[in-house]
Amino acid sequence: MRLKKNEKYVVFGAEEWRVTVGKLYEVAGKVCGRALYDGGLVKGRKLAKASKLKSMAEIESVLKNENLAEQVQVERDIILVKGSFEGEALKPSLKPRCFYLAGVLAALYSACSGKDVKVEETDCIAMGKKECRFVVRELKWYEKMKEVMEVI
Amino acid sequence: MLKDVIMLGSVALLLYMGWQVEKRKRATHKSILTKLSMFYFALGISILMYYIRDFYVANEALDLLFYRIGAMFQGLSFLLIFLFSIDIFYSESRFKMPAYILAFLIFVMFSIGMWTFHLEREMQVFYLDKKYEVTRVFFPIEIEKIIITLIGIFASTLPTLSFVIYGLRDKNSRKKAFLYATGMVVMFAGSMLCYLISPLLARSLYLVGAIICYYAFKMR
Repeated sequence: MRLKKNEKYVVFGAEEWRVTVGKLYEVAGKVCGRALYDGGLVKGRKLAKASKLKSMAEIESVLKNENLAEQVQVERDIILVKGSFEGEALKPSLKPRCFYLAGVLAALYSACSGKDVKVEETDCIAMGKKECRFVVRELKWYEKMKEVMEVI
Repeated sequence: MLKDVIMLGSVALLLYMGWQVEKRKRATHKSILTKLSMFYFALGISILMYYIRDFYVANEALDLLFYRIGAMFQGLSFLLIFLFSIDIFYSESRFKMPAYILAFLIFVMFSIGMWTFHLEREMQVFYLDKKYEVTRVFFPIEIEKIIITLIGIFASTLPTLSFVIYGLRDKNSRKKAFLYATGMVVMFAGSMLCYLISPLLARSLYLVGAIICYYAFKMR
């Protein structure tokens, strides 16, 4: 991705991610996941714009370039991801942990399909699974309204 | 003095809410929230223009200029809140594009009419300062009143409904959603009554509507 002139970037290694985000999960739980998801959406939108993403097949190369995942397979409303950075960093866990990646995927999927979607992780390598499994579903009007009502 | 407080109070509240929504906007549903914040801004600016025009009652050209700018922004606010509810309800539906096109067409026609048609100033009832207000003459006045009322109802129904239906569905946010719906109805009713009866009603109802929305906005 091309860096903007006035934008600053910080490179997070797996170790720093594990300590920082792991601690945040301990303290904030779901809220941390939500914040990471939103952060992922921002990142995903930037990536979709920068890479001029048009088809689902391009999602893999975009994620690889950003070192967020190694292999991505999109099958309609299921996305299978191997080598998720977040999942690797937050091993072991009882719950799925790739919220940031889910946000990125939601933004990329929305950019390709033109639909407002929510991506939820059902299986995660942090839980000891072979790959991360994400389910994509369209947002219902009341879910959108609920999120809007939280802000206004 | 009372009129100044009422109008400037409404402007301040609307601009503040617009600014706050803009500030709180997150990654999710950015475009929907942008429309809502722009709605507050546009409505606030339109009331500000109506306030400014009161200083130029003696100068017909300036009076009409500020009136036209105010009406344009008011039309824009109607358009934005309508698109806001379309984005909530029909974002994936095939009705979205026709609804967008229809709303834009109405707005463009309204704007063109506002700047090209003849405007007549006449004394309005109930107005405290006994100043002149404007009557548009796009069509014969009776037909015009019906058309403008229908546009008002068309633009206001969906946004109000979106809050009401959501309020019925979600117990936790019911009060907040109903307050928003009430605030919207009061503000839309103000616009309509301004046109049909007297600007005095609009001036007061805008403030009431803005206060209700502000109260809802402050609820967590």
